[in-house]
Amino acid sequence: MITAMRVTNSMMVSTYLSDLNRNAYRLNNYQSQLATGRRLVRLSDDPVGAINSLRAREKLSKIEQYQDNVEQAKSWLTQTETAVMDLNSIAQRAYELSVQATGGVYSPTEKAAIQKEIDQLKQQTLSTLNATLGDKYLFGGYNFTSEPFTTDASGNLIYNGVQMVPDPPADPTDPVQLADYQAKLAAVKAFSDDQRQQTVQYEIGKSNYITVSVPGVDVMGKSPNDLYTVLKEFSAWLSTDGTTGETGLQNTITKLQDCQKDILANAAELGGRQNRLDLAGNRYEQDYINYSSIRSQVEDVDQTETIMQYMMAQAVYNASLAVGSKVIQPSLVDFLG
Amino acid sequence: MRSTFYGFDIAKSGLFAAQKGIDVTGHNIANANTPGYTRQRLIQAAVDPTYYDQRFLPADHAVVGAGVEVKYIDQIRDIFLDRQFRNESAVYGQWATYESGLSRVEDLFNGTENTGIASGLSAFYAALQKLSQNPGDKEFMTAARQEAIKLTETFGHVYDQLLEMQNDYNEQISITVGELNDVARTISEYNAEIYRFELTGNHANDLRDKRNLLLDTLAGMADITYSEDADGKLSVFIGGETLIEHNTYNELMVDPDVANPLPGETNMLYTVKWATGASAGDAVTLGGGTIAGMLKLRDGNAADNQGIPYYVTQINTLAKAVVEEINAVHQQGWTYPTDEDPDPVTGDPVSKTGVNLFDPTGVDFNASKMSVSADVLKSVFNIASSDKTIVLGDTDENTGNNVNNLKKMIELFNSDKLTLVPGVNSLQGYYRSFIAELAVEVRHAGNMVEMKDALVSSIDTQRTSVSGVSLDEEMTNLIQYQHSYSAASRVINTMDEMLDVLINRTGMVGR
Repeated sequence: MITAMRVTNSMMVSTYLSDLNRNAYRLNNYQSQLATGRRLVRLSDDPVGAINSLRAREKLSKIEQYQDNVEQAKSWLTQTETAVMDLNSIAQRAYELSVQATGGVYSPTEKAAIQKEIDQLKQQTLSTLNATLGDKYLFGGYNFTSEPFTTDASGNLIYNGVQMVPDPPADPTDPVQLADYQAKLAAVKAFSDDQRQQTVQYEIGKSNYITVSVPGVDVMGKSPNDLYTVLKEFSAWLSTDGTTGETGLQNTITKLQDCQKDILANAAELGGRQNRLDLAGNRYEQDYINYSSIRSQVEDVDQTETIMQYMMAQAVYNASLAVGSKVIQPSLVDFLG
Repeated sequence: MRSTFYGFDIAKSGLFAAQKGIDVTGHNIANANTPGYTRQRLIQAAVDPTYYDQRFLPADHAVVGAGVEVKYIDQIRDIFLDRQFRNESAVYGQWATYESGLSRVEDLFNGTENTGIASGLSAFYAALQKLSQNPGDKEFMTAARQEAIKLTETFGHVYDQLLEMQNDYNEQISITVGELNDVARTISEYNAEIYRFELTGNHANDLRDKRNLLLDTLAGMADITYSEDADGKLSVFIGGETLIEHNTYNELMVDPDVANPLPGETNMLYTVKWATGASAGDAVTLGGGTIAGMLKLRDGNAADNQGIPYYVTQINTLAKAVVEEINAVHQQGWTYPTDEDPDPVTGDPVSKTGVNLFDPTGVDFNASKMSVSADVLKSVFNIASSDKTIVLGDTDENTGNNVNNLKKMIELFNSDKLTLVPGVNSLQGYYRSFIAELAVEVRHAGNMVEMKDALVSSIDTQRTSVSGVSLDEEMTNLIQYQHSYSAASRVINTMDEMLDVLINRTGMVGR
């Protein structure tokens, strides 16, 4: 007959064992957390935490990519800015020379000197326009690999294979030749529009793109009033003995001023983009820190707290070992005579 | 009138009873640690006075009983607790098996922040971004191809391991059914022995203990019901069908007649069926136990019945989405002309469109079939970044065009509005949902196991409370029996002295 609850040796042993096991399990868990530094030993420990950890990691990976793109965009823009400022100095020097030329009647030798400098400036323009970042041409649109700006035998400017300033008709009154010339002008315009669409872009935020390139057809002014062509005209004018008149020179001066304006406008635009990149870069630095701390909060173990809990669990474990051993050993046998 | 030596019989019976009691106590003590042992006790009863067969009733009315009789040796066991224990064992067995299987699945994804599918997708995304900065550069194209290959390998690896697990459980079902048959056979043999033994009127205590232990084991494997009829014959049923009937039993068998439901896999899975008996050839209805747990793991393919196939299906879906979404976008791009893969007709390098990055999904697609396309494996230049045809010549066109890569491929990883594969509207989002579902299910299973374990332990503790040997109690009994033996022998001694006086010293006058 069973009154209250009958307790047998095997019950005491199995209860002792299962409690001990529970303590040992907890101890093992803390030890694992401390050894790996991770709060989440298994996904099922904290399902929501596991998801937040994945999210934070994905976000951090994207931020790293955006930061990298920002840096790359900055390099591109800096290189472009350098080239543009070079073009500006060239235009400035050409302007000074052109103003000098209006000052008076020059001797042929002096004119020849100016012409030589103008020709040099022309060459410099061409090489500046073919600037590269690494092995990629800056001003070729989507053409990274072959020189965008070349000249033909007559010294005409060729951009990506197209003559930017078509030869005027030999006989302006001939309607066929005129129509032909108009068609060529229209083709150059269509080509230029198409080239303007070839923008090099990087992603610096979710679906947030920055254009880092300046179209080659715009960088030194629009053809036929681009810097190279104007310099070519100036050089041609100097070859004559200047008797074709001051108007030719005045035109050149005005055109050079306009060129400079266009070039400086480009420089300003580039400056604006650099600012945008700086802002983005700063923001991402902050974001990176924020998301890193989110990730750490979810994934990493708080060392001090866990050590404390570990010590407590260990104390409980030791106590249960000590007490258990005292309880399960003796039986009535020890006390009978 | 009382017979002279009547008292001796009474004392003698006391001696025998005490001896028997000490034997039983000794047996209990010896088996204190034997698993499944039920404590036994001596049932003794007073013997009625033996006057029924005498011719004459005694003159006085003070008849004395004839001592003590050992009736039988009983074991103290609560059959109701046994039944409860076995019912709960089946439930516990199923959950424990299920939870351990899910833990193995979870292990594939634990701690894989730097090596798993999520990081594979991130690495591929990073390679595409680098490529967008440097379209046409061989190193970056090679890096992108490498990340694509690694991604396919990661998917394939996860798939292979899950499939291996499914095969493992399939085999384990076969093995467990074999074990079940063994246990059933042994129980039926015990049934025969116990019946034979108890025909003599004895209680087959130790045989019953062994049989009970086997019934406990059987209950963990499948949800059995059982009953013992008035003659003492035991019948055991599974799902209403007879497994054991006294000394005969029906076997279960496994028949590989179900095709694996996972696409692209052609192995046959086992169905558990009755091999003999009235329902031979029919499937066994299992409502619990480890076999049911293994079946759930092997077959579960729905949100409310999550087994390995369910998770494999989700991995397959994600792989399919990655392949199809990326291919759809990649086909719109133009490749970089290269000598490594020239136009088959002219032999010149040419820019192509409609090229796949991954092998297209076909019929029966699964994650192990995911691979980088032959075109891209042949040449990294077949990775299409440009959205217009690339021409190499006196002037190059579109060698720096990264529009397809930038605006379409990279956008895939930002988007949560993908549509090609039902259910996947974001690549990394789908993976996160998958992990969430797995983690929650494992946690749930873990909680259920803990709960059921506590319940089973509690019932078992109650059983031990009733049936277990307490050394203290046995010691006390030992002392009692020892005293009763001493006392009985004292009685004999007293009788002896009394008779001695009567026999040896009466009527000695004059001798």
